[in-house]
Amino acid sequence: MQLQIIDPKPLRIFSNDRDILRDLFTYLDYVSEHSIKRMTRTNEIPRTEANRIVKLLGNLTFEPGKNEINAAQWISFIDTLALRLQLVSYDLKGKYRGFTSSEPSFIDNYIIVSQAHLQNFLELSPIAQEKRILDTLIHAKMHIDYDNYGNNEFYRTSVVGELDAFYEWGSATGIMPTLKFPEIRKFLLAALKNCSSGQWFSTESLVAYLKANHRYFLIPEKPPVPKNQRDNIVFRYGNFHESNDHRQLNEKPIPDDAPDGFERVEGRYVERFLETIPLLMRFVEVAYDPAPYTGLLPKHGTLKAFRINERFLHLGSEQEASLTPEVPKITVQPNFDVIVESDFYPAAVIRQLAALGEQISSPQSGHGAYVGIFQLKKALVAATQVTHPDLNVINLLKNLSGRDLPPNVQIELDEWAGHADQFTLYEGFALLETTEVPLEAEKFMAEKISPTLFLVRNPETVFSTLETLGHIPVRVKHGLGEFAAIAKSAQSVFPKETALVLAPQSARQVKVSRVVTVSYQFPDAESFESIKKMLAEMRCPFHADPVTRIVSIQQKEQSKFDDAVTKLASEFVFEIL
Amino acid sequence: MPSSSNPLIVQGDKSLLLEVQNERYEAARDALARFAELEKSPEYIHTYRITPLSLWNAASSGLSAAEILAHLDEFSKYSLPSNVVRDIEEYIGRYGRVKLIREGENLIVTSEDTTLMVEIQNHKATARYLHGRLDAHRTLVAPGRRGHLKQALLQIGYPAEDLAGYVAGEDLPISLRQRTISGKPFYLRRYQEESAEVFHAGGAAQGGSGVIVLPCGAGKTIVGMAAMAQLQTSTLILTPNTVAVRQWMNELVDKTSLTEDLVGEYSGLQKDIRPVTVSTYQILTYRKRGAGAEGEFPHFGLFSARNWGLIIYDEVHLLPAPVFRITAEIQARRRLGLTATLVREDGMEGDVFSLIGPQKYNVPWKDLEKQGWIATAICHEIRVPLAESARMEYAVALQREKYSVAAHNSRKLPVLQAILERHIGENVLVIGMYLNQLDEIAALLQAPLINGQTPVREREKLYEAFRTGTVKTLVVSKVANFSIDLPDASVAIEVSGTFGSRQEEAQRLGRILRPKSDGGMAHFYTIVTRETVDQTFAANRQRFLTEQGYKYEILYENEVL
Repeated sequence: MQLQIIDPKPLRIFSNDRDILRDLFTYLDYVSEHSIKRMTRTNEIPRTEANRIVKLLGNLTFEPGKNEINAAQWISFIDTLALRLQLVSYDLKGKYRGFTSSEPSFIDNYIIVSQAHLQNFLELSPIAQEKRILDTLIHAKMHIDYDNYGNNEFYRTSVVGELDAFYEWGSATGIMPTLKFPEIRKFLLAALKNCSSGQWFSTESLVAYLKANHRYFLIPEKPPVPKNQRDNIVFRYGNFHESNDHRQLNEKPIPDDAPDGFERVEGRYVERFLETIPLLMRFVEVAYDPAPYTGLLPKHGTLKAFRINERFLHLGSEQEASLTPEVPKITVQPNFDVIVESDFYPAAVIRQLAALGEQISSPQSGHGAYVGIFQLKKALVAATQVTHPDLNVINLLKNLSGRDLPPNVQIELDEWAGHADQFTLYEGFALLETTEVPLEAEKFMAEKISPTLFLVRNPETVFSTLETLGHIPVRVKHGLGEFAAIAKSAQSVFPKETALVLAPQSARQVKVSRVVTVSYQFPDAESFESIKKMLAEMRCPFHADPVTRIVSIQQKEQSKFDDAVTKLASEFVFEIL
Repeated sequence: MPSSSNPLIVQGDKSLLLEVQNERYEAARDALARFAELEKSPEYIHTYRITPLSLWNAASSGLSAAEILAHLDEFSKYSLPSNVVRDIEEYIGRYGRVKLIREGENLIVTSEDTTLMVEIQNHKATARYLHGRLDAHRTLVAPGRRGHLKQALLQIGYPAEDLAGYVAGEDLPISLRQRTISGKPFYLRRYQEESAEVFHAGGAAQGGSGVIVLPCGAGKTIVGMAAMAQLQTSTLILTPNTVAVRQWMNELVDKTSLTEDLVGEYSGLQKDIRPVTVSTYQILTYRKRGAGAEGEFPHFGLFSARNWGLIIYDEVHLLPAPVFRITAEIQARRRLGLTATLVREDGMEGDVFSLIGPQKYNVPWKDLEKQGWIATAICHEIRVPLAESARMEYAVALQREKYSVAAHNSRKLPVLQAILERHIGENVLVIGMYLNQLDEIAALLQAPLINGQTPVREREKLYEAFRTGTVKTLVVSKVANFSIDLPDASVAIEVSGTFGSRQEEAQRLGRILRPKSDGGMAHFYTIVTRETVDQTFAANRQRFLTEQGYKYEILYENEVL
């Protein structure tokens, strides 16, 4: 396949930075940890939950005003994809509740993560995971799973694209229901695989190639007549209309015998296909005409060029079973950075590393591959060690990186892991303050702190037991950040509410005297002991440190010290440096 | 073309990851050094970053966007992210679109792009430095506002190419000696010669101002002297402290044709202005007590005291803000910045670029290490437990006092002595931040102590004794961080020192990087109290030093004693 190479400089280039696999796992982590109930009327993820997921996904905007991804659409796309992959489940049919004439309602429709399917999916290699997503997209009628003939590239714009759609009216008639979109997509992907990576090719030349060599790749030469057709006349391009303004009244069908019919129908499809699966899967970058569009709608000829990458050639259209599993390259650096490099998002490895460190790199690499940097953190390593006491972090990192760790990192990890077992946190205890412990409450006693203060287990049960016995206990619930005060009517040794109101005090004046101390260090024990003895005899206050052999005196005692030195002159000649 | 066997990954956030253990590493490193900033260089993968300033520095040295992209493409594993390509073209394209030129007595800002000229004439940041439109492409610059306008243009994203030239300055014949006065043979190393030539640019307007980045110990002073010899003009040299002033003066007399009567000291102690005058940032920024923030700097008169043909800013990363202000007003004089790092803790790298000049030359320190011009250093961290007697004091200390308790740990002293025993006969610096601790150590080791209180004359005497080997161990506070030439210090032992700044750590290590006469290794020890904030600070230091590419070894007390 010889396509025309094009210089993209005059064009507006767009590359999709969203990694579907990464975003899918972020979504799955979130829905696993939160109980998400879908909206009753629309069955969508509630906006607050969607906003939280968007925050976790990171920057969803590329260039404001140009290819800005609508966050809600992207979440919806990921949500639907998870459903198609059977990683989550929720009700799609709902029940009619009479709110409108026909729309069903979805009551208590929670998203359930299928742990078994998720585990199976996680056990696949990253490349196999990508392949499964690709297959799902190829076989789906785009990202909304209604049984509707309009769900294909002609009528549904890409969530990362900017081209407009054909008007959907009449899509259940004519040749549209007969088109085999999964086959068409596979064919185009296989054709793209013949392009060399890194080169920009003109879309026009791709359409010209298809016209010359595969004229019927989209619409068969003799399309079958659909069963529901009222007459037997089927127009080849009968489903496709153009207009100046997208208004239905002004739309005109594209004639079957139009000499440029292929460009106007198949050409428009190719442009829309490029910005759907290939762009979504980050197999291609695309380049648009920067000039304002003035032609007939839907837009035609604006996606001027595309460039495929190695990632696409690597994954291509192979069968899942025949893919060579890719081993992510992991490097542990002496500065505690762990660098992960992989052609495809290595979810299983990332999950392991995220438990040990913080990701410090931007999630968007800008090229097809995944390159992430984690910085190992003491708190995370220690916490992981508590929840997984059998985990050997050093061995894990050695195995992942395939070589010994830098010695300083190994020593630190060893220390950090040791910190995990220095303290044990017990939960579910409370302090019971009482002058008399009822017999029924004795079994809950964990420790007697003082004759009137006890550490008790199961405080709720203790409280209800005391209430049942008619003791009228007072419960004091402390906040996480500070202790609560005890009601002033309660009997307690602890401070009460009244005690906390302190009378305003004026600042106390404090006079501070300056004391200057002079220190002398003696080179040996003999002279040190002699001076100490002499100073003591002369009743000179001093401080002596036997380890460092330093004698310190207040400056005002200097004359006494000098006298002591003089008196020792027969034994030592002191030279003070 | 991108290939999986290549060593470089170009990320969309404009960071560059370079694999060291790749056969094309060295070629890639040399290419990147010209247009990207090295952020960290740990053992296996180095991180660079492309920034507007790094690109403008590259553009000023004549590199085009196409050349940069070709380099990236040549070494990259993956296709270049399109936003990176776009940004490189955009930023490089901005450099030189605005030029400063001189027409007679007038300084003119000019651009081919008339719309851009309209923007410059009307932008709040630039308009106040302009004096009137001459035509669609040229506008007059207000007198004395050359530097301010350059700062403002950088701020709005259009760095000016300054082709307005320089004043000649007083003539001063200077040549480098073949043999120093002390009798040693003297010649410029290749990189010193190259950096001086790149700075001079054959006397063209493209040269004459800029920054030379060389590692500690690589001989930045000599580059300065070489630049002076190229220009043959009177020179003002600004340094961080008085000890550095004296060292510059000694070096100038020892290695150039200048005689003592031609070299003056302008410091707190002496105010002697001669054809070559060496001064400190401190004296220049001195103000009388009570002068207030807006008060005058009486010593700024030094800048106009003579017709200086060149001003050298030693350790330019320490240049204080007021000196930037005066530098903005003396843009007609040639300016040379010397430093080991362009990183400034105050983030004023942009001011260095616009007021001193773009980076002109940079040699990776590993290159110099390989060639034997700087010593190979190994870092050791020795962890000691907190003395039993101090544990309770530490436990109840306020957070801000904990470091002091941990740093003063008495169990550090036997370790310090053990390290000294390992290095008997070598020149050792013991560095700390607590003066009482240093007093105690100096007394224990019977070694002289240099701190802020030590008179300059006394400091010089001690440094000289250390250089000549009369004194083998010197205890120093942070006064010794900068600009002190201690050629034979091969061991540094840090007993206390918060991880205050990246610079400080680099400078402390820099004290021992000067090549050793026996070609031996340099050792940098830090003694750290285990399981205290001392260790937390040490963790930061460990990360920083490993990021600089140093080998880092952790030992415990029992492995040393």
